[in-house]
Amino acid sequence: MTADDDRRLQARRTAARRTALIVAAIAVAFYFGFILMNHFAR
Amino acid sequence: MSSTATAIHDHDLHDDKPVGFWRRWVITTNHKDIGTLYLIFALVMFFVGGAFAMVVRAELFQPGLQFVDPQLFNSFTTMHALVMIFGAVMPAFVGLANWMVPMMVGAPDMALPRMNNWSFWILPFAFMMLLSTFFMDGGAPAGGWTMYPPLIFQTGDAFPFLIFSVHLMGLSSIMGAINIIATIMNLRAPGMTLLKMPLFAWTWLITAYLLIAVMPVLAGAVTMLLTDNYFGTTFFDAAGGGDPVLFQHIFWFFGHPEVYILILPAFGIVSQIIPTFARKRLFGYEAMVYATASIGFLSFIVWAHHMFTVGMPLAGQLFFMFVTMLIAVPTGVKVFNWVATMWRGAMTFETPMLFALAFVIQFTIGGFSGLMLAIVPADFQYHDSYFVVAHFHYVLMPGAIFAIIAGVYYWLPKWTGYMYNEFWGKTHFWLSTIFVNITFFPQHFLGLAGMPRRIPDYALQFADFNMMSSIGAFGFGATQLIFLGVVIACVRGGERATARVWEGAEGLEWTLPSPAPYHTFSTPPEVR
Repeated sequence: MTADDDRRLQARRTAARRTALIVAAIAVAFYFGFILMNHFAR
Repeated sequence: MSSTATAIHDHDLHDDKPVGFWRRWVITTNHKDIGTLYLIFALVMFFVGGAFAMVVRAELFQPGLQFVDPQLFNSFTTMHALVMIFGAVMPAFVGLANWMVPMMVGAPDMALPRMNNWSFWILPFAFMMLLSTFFMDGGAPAGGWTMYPPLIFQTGDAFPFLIFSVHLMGLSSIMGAINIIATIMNLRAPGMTLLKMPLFAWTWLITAYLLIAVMPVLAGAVTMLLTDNYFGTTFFDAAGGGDPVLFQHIFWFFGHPEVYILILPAFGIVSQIIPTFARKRLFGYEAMVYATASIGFLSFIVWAHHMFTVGMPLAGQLFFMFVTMLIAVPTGVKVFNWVATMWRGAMTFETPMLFALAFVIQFTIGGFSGLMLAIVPADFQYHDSYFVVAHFHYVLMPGAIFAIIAGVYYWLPKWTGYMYNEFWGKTHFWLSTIFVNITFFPQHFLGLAGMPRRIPDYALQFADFNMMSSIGAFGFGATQLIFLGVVIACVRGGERATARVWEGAEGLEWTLPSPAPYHTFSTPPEVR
């Protein structure tokens, strides 16, 4: 693996972490949002 | 269609495995090792859940109460479902995804390797907690895997353990799904566009989105059960202004997409295997992708077909009936494309292909009985009967589990570097196929004749078909020991596998040597 490959891989990993954070935030929002929706819909 | 890669650089195929059990298996971040852990865990849970099923079928072998009291019987049916769904089928698919998705898309590993380790190691603790409930006051949960209130509140000390273990399973699934989404979206090799990805990666990507959308709903539902039971809320308590039927709506809003979480990766596996052994490209690749996405979308708007009998407006019944039937369209596209792939192909019938073919036929049987259940007035007759048990077991057992077994036979030489024993593989296939049909086909007749599900005893008129079903179940259970033997023998040695393993195999994973080196694609392959 060349230094160039390594740099490219690091950039992709950084992007992957950002994707993961966004998806995780959606999952957490669904969880709390769902409970709160059921609470306030009463 | 998935494309091929150019030369693999030898210096990228590292094989520096960590030394020692702790470093190799406990704190591993390697996608192949974590895939192996998932698969071993799923196999263990398959035998545990299978043992529970044997108890259930032994009790139902003849009328009257023989081995277990009704409470324990209900615990076994409940735990059989929880263990098989969350402990066997889902982890098996995640294991296959861990092993194969990075290699298929040309990634060096999963995007978040440490989280990958965490999402696996949560599972053994979740299931130890769940299984320990058998030894608690009040016994294991017995209200069915659907956990409907108010029945579920009769659970004894096991209740909080059930809720917490479901939370942990959900957390593990969500983390696994995040990893797969991030890996596929960000770590694909240059040139590996989305519409060049193998179908298995595609079906898993859509499955991962389903998991992200519905696992928090399940977690929310069981959290509300917890707060109803311990903290004075009344989400599902009519006396406090809540509604027990609300739980059913919430549960099935999770539960129906969950059905597709259990079957979409199976579609992906079969879509890899059939072209290989038909020696043709997959017919209608893009149609398969769109059909999978359509099934994923429709899975969110059909949930109430599980609960027609609780009562709902006519417009609701009609909507859920027609939308459920609509799922037959993309599913039909898939079955048509698998058959069209085989049409005039140079087919051979090695064990993975046999299991894949049996999947197509038997899953279709399960799909047809699903269409019958979608018809509202007919469902009023079939609801909570053995017809439903026959239906979902056809989808999950000769459906999802056959696809998992097909995938294991297909990729085993790539994992171990050795060919499995074809004679024993085929023996495993034929005995499994015969016994699984002896087990579940008569259950259609039992249901149509009026036998309710989840009962330990039954009227004399149901005796013959029940005995037949139990004999099939014992045979199927025993046959799986052959599978265990074949896998262990293949891990230990045998005829050397080539890199491509199967003559008709295409895709990046087959450009790697067998067994696949510990680290692969550190330098991204060039995809044309």
